Amino acid sequence: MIFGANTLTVLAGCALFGALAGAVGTFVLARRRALVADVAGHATLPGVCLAFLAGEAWGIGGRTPWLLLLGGAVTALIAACCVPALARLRRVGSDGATAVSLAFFFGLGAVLISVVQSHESGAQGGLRKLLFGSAAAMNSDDVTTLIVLTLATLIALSVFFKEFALLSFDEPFARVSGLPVRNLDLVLTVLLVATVVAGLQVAGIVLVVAMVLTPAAAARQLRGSLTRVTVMASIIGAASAAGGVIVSSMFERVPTGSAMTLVATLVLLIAMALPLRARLAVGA
Amino acid sequence: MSSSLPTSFAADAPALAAALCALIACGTLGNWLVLRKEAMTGDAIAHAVLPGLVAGFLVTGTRSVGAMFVGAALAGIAAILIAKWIRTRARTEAGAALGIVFTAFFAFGVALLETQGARQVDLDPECVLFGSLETLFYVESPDASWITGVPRQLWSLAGAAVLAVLFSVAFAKELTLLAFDAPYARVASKSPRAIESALLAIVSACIVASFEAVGSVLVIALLACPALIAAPHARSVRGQILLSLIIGCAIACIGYLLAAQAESVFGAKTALNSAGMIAALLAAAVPLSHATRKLIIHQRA
Amino acid sequence: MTALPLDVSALSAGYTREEMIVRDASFSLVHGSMTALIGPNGAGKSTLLKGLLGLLPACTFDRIAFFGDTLDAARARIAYIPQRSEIDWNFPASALDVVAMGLYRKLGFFRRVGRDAKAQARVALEQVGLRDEAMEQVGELSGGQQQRVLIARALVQNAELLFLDEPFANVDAFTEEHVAGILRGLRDQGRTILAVHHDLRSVRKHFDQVMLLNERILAQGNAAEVMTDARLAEAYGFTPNSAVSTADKAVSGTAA
Repeated sequence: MIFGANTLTVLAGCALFGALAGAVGTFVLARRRALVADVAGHATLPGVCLAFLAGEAWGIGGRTPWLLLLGGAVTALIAACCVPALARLRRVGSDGATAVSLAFFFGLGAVLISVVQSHESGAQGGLRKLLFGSAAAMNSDDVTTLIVLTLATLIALSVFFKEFALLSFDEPFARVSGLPVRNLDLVLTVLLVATVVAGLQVAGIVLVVAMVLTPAAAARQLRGSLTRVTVMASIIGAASAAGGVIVSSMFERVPTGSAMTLVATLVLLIAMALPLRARLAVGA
Repeated sequence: MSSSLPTSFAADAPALAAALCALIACGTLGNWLVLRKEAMTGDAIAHAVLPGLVAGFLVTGTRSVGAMFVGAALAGIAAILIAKWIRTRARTEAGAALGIVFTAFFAFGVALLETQGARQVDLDPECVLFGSLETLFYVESPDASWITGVPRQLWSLAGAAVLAVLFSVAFAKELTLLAFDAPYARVASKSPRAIESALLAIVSACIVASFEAVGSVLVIALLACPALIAAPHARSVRGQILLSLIIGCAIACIGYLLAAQAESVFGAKTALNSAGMIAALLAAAVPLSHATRKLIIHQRA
Repeated sequence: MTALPLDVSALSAGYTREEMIVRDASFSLVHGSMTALIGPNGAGKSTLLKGLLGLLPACTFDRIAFFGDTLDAARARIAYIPQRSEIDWNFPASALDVVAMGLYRKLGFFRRVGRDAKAQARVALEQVGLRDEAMEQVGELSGGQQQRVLIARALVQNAELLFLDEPFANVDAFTEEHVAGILRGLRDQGRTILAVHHDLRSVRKHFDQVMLLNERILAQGNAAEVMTDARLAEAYGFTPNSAVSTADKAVSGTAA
């Protein structure tokens, strides 16, 4: 196995990310925000490129992890907030809004990545790894950033767990009982963006959405209470992420993001194939 | 991706023609998808065709257009059918099912490409995302007729454009009725399912044809944006399609030239990715178009 | 004797095989009748309609005959008017465009909507009192006008059997009266109408026949026969306000 940093630390960091993605994914699915997660993933690209260029310009190096992730988070958050705003336009709808937001930010990202590529700097190669993810290319700074960001997001998620649970289960009731629904949705979007950004190094810009959606969908097959589904989603997410890292280290050329996505999809298919009784047993 | 920039218009012409053909193909069909509230289906297909494309190559061992085309179209259709199955079987929202399926297909495609075919297929995953419009050149050869100099991708794109327009004209009534009122259409006629499948197949075919040259970024933009730009102003389906193509072509030309002439326009070091530029401009035009409509209504009142 | 417009026996319908919403429904409609399909929320009123028209994934039956024939053979004579909320009214089309959709089947593939078709559509629009709105965008019409456009589409199709899902949902009382008048006119021309209806107070005013549904068909017949307190109580699980059933019962009801 070839890893840039301590193997076990990378593996632990990736598993932690998988757990976070699964937990956040449960609420993303419940709030019907699946494709917003897709937009957020793709929309990190222009921000990451801008951060790279800024880092080069400021002389702190283009591949500064926290700067890249901050840049990605800013554009991803803007893109995610654009979706509901565009959806309000006549004849656009949520479907069209998602496509437009994705096209704009990913298109902008494509333009900016061509700017980055024209830059005379040896560091731009690292940026290409962000497209499909590469755990092998992570250095110790990357791993530290990943673990800190993931833990912070997990803590934030657990703080709001009760409110999210109520919101996902029964929005009208949540409204009537005085929950600030709009602000909570914004918090969920922020957590989603944090998750997506945390996963960029590991799962990559294009496929990070799979780690949010697929483990959560698999966990939903196992029924049970929301808490149990969330926990199951975290376990499946962590297992898929760790499995993906191991698979991609065995087949060196397979990007980590691809491997994780395929492992998670396999778990989903197995969960769907289980007879109902077995699902209930696992869920209980 | 391109390294140098063609300066004369003759050198730009094939790439611009490819972009416009892709716009006519995807833009026309995109109107039906948008009317059916399925704009993201195009996005899903655009990602999902990748493994088919690679598999088509691996099976035949050549970079023959036919095999890759069939493989890709099959993958696109399979992805949509599996997404439908997951939606009912796993009880997820439509968007989640699409997201799960297209990421799985795309992940598989990237893995195939990287392990099996990267060298042979001569297609790197980055090209798949961002396209390679800039590499379409007219190859001049003194002893052959001018036709042989036209890049291969341009022919398949032109074919896709013709197919998309013919299909939309021939089945305009049926597609309109299905988009407006599917239950009525299903009672009035036995054939709607066949027409829906045909639409799906032709969308897949056009995406595959566009894919190699313009990349998935632009395909997604072309399917959704022209139709959504025209939507606020349209009073009939035919009007919407025509308007979307006219505005779309104009924006595509502007976007292409901005990217290709980036050195003189922005003072950039090289030309920029034109597919991305066109996509971003098309998307930005959607809210602008809505703002224009509000302005017009406001002025009338 | 000509065959009944609709003859259904042992129809079960739902979204999955395991969970059928409507069970074992058998009924028939006679020529020139106007029937209200009533029942509590979730009773499967829309499901019954969609099931017999082949719009649902899970559906079993012994026999469904339209004019003594299969659905495929009778499609031209049937029109289904879905709930107004199922349609995307932001669609770029004028009222005339939508009415002309009723002629698409007759025109067949590849033929465009010509002058003749448009003239027919105009006549149908006039019949529902929307002559001046022909060129308006459907999204700009009121709810009642939209409902009338959909009826005009069935008219231009010259359908003999009309299925309507909640034609009076979310329209004001005046519009309801107007639409009901149009439907009664159609019945008097010999067409057969089956409409899902939710407002018990107006059933007797608009319809001559009533079918009472709660997963199974509980009763079918003349409005006065079906709309009894006992039957309604069985269907709805409570005794509805007596004023709903009949005027004379209302008197006895309050006395008791």
